[in-house]
Amino acid sequence: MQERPEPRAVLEALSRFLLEELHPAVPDKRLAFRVLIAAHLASTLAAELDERPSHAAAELERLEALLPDVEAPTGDTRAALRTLNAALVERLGRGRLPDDAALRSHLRATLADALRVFSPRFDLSPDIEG
Amino acid sequence: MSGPIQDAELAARVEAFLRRERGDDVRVVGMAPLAGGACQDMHWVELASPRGAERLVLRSDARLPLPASLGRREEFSVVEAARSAGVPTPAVHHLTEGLVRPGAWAYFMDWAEGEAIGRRVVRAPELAHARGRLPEQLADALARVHTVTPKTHSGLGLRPMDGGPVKGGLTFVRWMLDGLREPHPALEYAFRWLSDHAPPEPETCLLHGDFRTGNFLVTPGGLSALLDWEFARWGTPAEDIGWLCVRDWRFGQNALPAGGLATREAFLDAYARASGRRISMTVLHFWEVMGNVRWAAGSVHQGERYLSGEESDLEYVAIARRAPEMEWEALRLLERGA
Repeated sequence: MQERPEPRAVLEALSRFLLEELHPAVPDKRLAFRVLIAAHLASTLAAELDERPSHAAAELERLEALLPDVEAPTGDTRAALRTLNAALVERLGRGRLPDDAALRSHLRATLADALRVFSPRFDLSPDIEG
Repeated sequence: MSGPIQDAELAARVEAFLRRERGDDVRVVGMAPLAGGACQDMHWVELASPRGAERLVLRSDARLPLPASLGRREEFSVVEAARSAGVPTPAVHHLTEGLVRPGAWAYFMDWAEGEAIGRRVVRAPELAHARGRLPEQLADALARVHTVTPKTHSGLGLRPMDGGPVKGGLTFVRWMLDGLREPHPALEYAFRWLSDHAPPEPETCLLHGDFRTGNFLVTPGGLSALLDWEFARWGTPAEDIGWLCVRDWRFGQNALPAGGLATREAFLDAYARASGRRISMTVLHFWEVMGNVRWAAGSVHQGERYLSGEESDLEYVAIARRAPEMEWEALRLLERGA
């Protein structure tokens, strides 16, 4: 199967086209703003293609350590993540918290991974007020 | 902004309506949908009459109202109450049903000048002087909103509170979280924290309900008008200030948590001077965490509106992808403490 240009390169080309060629040519402000949004979404998808598998694997590993007694389907990362996250939410709802520091560190790591993909310019430092 | 009439039939209905209401031979000389109000159906209307040229906004019930948002009928009485309390917000006129669409309530409001786009409000060089005055002016406007209470205005048509502002806020957020289509453990964790740190039930008053940078107009002289009352409700003063401090409304000015315009301490001081009410950093912290949780869940819900086919605006998809920003901020705040 032909691989080149790879999906990431296609999305980057799409983003570049929207930003550099289409955006300057759209006079309507509302529409031009949506072209910027589209360009941003395409570029975050390019990053997501590369990062998602390793982020999902890391999230799964942390959840398995936090919830050793929960049985999750093997061989299907997405299904396992759904099961474990649902179990975690259910326990939080009942007030049965696993190790709080480990839990918070897991939640932070999961959100930080998502943000590095979805919002690459978001400031992840703990003290943003300066 | 004067110019073409986009929907001639609607413009003719508006003209006939205004002639009946005002008893003069006013003409509609320009009318088009107004960009910006994503949730409401709004038009600017340019009039010519013996009084001269006038510009109004026609604000109508949305086709697909957001849950928890007011209808135009209730909003009209909220704006009137706010104006009578001295809040700077455009005057409203001619509440009516069926003018824009059958069954939809609508009213007209005066046009107000100014910049609403948050990024420009917190950064534009020509608004530097205004930014110096805004914290004081916003605190004063908010203090005036908060003088309206269920006792002074029993007939406002807002949903009655069920057990106080804290319980009401927690119940609403719980309801939003229960409606999410996939688990959000960080939001559940934050909800747990909110439940464990709930302050005592405070006094109840009118809230603007969406008091944030982006929902007020600013001119080089300072605050021109508060806008967008569709989320007005009974609550507690700290709730409106906590919402103003939600990170997303700082537009990058992170050192100025109150709307990208002031520190929390400076805003609370200005509010205390204007209202005589001193809100503690601990209470503000609770409502700021709540605000971030609420906006995180709200942004996910906006994405669902697109996915369900209810909305077709790409912005809803992009906003939902930003939910982790608000989740992160809720966790960061509760770990950092007041």
